[in-house]
Amino acid sequence: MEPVKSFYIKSTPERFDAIVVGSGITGGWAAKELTERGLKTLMVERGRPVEHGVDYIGENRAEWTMPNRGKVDEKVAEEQYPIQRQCYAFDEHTQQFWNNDRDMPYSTPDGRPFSWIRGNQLGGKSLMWARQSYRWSDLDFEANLKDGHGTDWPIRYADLAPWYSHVERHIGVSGSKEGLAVLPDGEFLPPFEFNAVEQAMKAKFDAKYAPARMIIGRTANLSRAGEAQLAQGRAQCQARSECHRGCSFGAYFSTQSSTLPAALKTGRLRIATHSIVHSVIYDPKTNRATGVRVIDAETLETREYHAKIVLLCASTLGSTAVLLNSTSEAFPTGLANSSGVLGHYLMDHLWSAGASGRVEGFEDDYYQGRRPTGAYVPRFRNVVDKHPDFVRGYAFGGGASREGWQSAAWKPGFGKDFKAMLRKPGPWHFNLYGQGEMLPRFDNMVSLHPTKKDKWGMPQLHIDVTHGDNDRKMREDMADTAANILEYLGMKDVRKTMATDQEYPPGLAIHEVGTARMGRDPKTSILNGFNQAHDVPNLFVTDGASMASSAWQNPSLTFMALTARACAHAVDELKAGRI
Amino acid sequence: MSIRVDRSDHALQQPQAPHAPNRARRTALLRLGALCGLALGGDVLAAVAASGKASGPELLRPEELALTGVLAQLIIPRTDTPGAQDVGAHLTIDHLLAACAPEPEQAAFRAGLARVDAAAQAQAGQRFGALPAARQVALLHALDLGAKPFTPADQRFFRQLKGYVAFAYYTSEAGATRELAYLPVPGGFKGRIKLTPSTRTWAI
Repeated sequence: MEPVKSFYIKSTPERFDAIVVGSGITGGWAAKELTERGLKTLMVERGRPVEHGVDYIGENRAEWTMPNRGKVDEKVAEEQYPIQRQCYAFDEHTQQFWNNDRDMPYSTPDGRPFSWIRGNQLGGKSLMWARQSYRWSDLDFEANLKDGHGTDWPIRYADLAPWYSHVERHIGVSGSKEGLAVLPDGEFLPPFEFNAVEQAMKAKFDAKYAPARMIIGRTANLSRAGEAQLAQGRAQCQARSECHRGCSFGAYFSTQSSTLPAALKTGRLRIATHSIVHSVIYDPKTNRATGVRVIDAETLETREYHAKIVLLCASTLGSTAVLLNSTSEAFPTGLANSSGVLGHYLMDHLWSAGASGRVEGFEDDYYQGRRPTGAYVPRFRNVVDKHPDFVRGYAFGGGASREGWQSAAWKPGFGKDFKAMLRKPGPWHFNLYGQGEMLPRFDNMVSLHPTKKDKWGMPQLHIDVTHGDNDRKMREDMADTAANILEYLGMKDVRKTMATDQEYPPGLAIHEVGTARMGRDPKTSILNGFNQAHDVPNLFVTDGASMASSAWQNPSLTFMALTARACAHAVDELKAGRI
Repeated sequence: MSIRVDRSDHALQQPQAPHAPNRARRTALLRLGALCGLALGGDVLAAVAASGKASGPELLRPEELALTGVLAQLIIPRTDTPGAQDVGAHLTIDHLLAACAPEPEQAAFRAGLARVDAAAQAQAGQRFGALPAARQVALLHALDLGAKPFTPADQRFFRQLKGYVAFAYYTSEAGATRELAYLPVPGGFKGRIKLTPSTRTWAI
């Protein structure tokens, strides 16, 4: 076992077998798979190192020990995190994991906001993700082919199923086996429990709305640590629901807790941090990527790293930005972009539409612990029925909880009785909020800004996204249907929510996908069914950029499965001398 | 089985604020406390220490801070556990307003405080803090309802104030660990437990 710091490198003349750009959800997985399959691998990360446990400075901090009791400093937030602060998970405990907007600006057209939520450290957003983990089915993989929006995925569920299993067995996913065609079961650790209200609502819901069903959310938290997770040095989830702060128990999946230990065990991993990839180095004589050009984030010095294969795992827009910036005579509009679709077909899930209500009764019921997942209703729209107003569909996430002191402002009264009231659990509330599939459109796109640059001299990304008609109609249905369900379930004071695009811009679901899509036809796609660039066979893009559609499920589990599968193929191709 | 956290479970709790206040600030605080009729406790000193600023209020004027303290204690009084002013909620509120509130929110809060004093002056010729307790409570009842001499706009201020007082109180050590049930590391999730008469709401 190597000493801790010796796998970090700065400059090196060494030629690696593989370079992985990015160290988050997919970068960590690529590092693990490639090193375990014998490749000497360099993982290149633009941000700083973050060491598991040690660097989780917001963890294990009671509110009264925090300078602002958990709230962010307003001046700092406005100056340095005006976009990141829109994210639900951004607070005083997690602030250090979010990208500095002042240092990493991007542009959007007037009146068309897009909120680009990013991490900027080793581990990327795997440190702060919501951990919801769902498989896609052929309903999703066939959608483009069937309704004509976007182009056909070059793979089907059968191609990915063994890789979903491979990933789940390693990371640990808690969930219940349901036998639902729209949401294939995975390899599960025990599910988290419903509370009393959810149990009652589920019974009513399932009876009325079958085949739709309310299930417990599937989450990459260790309800119980299996052997594989124990071997990674991880322990059972303590139900603190403070995952975004970093978890010293390793009880949720992150690069730090799970894939990095596995990669380091092989002895074949090296990591370069503070290393911003400027472009992929392309050799037109061999038609191969030969490495990456890097700008040091701290010193602005430039260097190169060289390898036999290059994998972009820098997050959807991060990877595409690198490709757009990798121009040459052969590829004047971006590396591997003979199709011209690089930067196009950007999607993010439809969010912020749903309903909440007050539940009467259940006064004697409570719960203990802060559950890191909620109730979930898999997609039921356009599965059996055909909705007149829109194609594809959405899931609901939500659940029930009892009011606490946080609702004090709205309670009448003050004084001894007021205090006594707040000492007891308050009324139950239940909510359902939608997460919907956004259709792929050519004009939803990113490009490099012609003039604006960041402090490292890199061109800023220009992001241009609007919701289309299908998207708007689907969101309306999310809110209407949620409200109808809550009314049927007997809730009072049912309140519908539907935020406007100004209030809740695209991007805030943090599930941005597309811009370097997979496809069967090199004329209309960047990548083949193995995330391999049609134009440059030793170049792979395995993160969300590769997606040809967004589906309705949280995408990270699928990112991981695609990555593991692509890495296996890349190693086979390399060993066979074909790349 | 009661789910109230035993005092002995405080071993699970977090350590005090990392910085001890310096002597000059402690002295200034104690003087300020005497002005407000306070018995200062660990939470107060921790609140100021955590603020990392020079002694004295950060945003509010001394008389605004004093009024906030009086109002806080009326909203969450001392019972078998400390009240909001006892744990320095007014100092926490001052800090949070200064550090975390955008300017319009700061202005609305101070305008609301001014309205309370103005109503007290108009009704009884004295600042709110100098009124007898019964009059203070009567005025607050009216404020709570947005009734004369107050308006619906004033009622919105009282909601803002209640929100701040509750936040400052229930994120304090005493508020979280003595008044409510505090379980920083639950160990796992239990979906269904039954309330008993001694059950308290979870602090977090």
